[in-house]
Amino acid sequence: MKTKVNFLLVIALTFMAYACYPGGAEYVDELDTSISKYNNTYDWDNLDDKTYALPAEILHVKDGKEVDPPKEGPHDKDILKQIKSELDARGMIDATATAQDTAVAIAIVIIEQNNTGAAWIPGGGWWGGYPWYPGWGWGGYYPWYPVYYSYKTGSVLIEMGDYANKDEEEETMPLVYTGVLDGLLQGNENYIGARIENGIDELFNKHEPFN
Amino acid sequence: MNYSISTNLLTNIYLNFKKKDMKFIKSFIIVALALISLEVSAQNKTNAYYGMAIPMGDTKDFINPASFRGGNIEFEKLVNPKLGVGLLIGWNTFYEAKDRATYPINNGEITSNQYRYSNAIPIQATGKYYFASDDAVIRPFIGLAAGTYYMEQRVDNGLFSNTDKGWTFSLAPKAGFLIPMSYSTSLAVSLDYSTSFKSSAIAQQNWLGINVGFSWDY
Repeated sequence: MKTKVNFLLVIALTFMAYACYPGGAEYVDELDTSISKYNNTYDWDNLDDKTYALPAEILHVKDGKEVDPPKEGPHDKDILKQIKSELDARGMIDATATAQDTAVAIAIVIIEQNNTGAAWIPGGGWWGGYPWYPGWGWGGYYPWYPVYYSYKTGSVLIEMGDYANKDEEEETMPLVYTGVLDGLLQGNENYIGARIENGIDELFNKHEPFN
Repeated sequence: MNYSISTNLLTNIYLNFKKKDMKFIKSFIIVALALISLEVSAQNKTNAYYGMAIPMGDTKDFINPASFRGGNIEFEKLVNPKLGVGLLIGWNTFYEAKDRATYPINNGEITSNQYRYSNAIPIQATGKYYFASDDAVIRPFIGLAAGTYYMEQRVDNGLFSNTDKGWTFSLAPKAGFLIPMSYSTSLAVSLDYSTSFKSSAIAQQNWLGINVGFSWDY
């Protein structure tokens, strides 16, 4: 009898630990992440009067494949407009407007990825009714439930190349900056648009090398 | 989401049972059991505690708020009416959700909400000295727990997660008292100061534990 009680105590302790485990993010936008990586030998201090070339359209990649034929997404125009205004605010000049060869070439990619799978969680839908009482039984309950999940992640990639130092033979140029926004693709388009706008704002106004 | 996270934790504990750890834990448990079975006609005790913890030192630098998620259970044998030896297992989780902020990374920066977790799972041998006999109104005790912690520290930045984990050597001196409520049941309150010593993966961790529970004699 005592062994059984001890055994149940251990089980109860484990289950309480499960039930009380802290949950992390509660809202979708709490998982949004803005990341920037840059080459710190590039001349970031003298962006004034440097020319840039934004792409005419944004490349869309869905589940690992380029979207073909290219299709404009609901946020493409806003993204291009916002990046242009951030670069202009730093004194940079749109190369397409001046017919000059650009100093910085910019590529933008939007990536959508579907993630699906299954996980086994303890207690499924019914756990949570504590404090429990003596005599609370196990019969009839499955202690583990399968849960199927499906979520979509979205990323916006902003890449900048040092076009002035391009290798014409190899047709390459040094990558000097990558800005990435990552998050869950959930909510209506207005909500997603606002999150992208906030992310671009963070990349340019909170992060080196642009802030 | 929190369920799958704790499932991952159990999986990690399992996967991290390296042979060397296993050997250490095995010999540790054998010594603990040998200690328990040393005596001849002893009484047994089972102590179950709800445990709160106040982080100190490096633990406090990593996670500031106190933990209200913890518990432990101890199987104890009284080698004489005033001296008990036992085996303790438990679980403490520290957690802090940091506001959205910018953190440096290699050649760049990251801005995100950050969620920090620290889990400590003790497997310890315990020794306790009770100052009063079992018919006293209150029975103060002092004790020491020594053994190992499985430590897992995780930092989540948005959808990215980084985990440090491993087994560490641990010590926890403690003091407390029992208030007998019936022939076989006592209310138990104790304070302990836990130290998880530095390992290659995890810095030294310290916290003050406040434990409230019951002690059963049989």
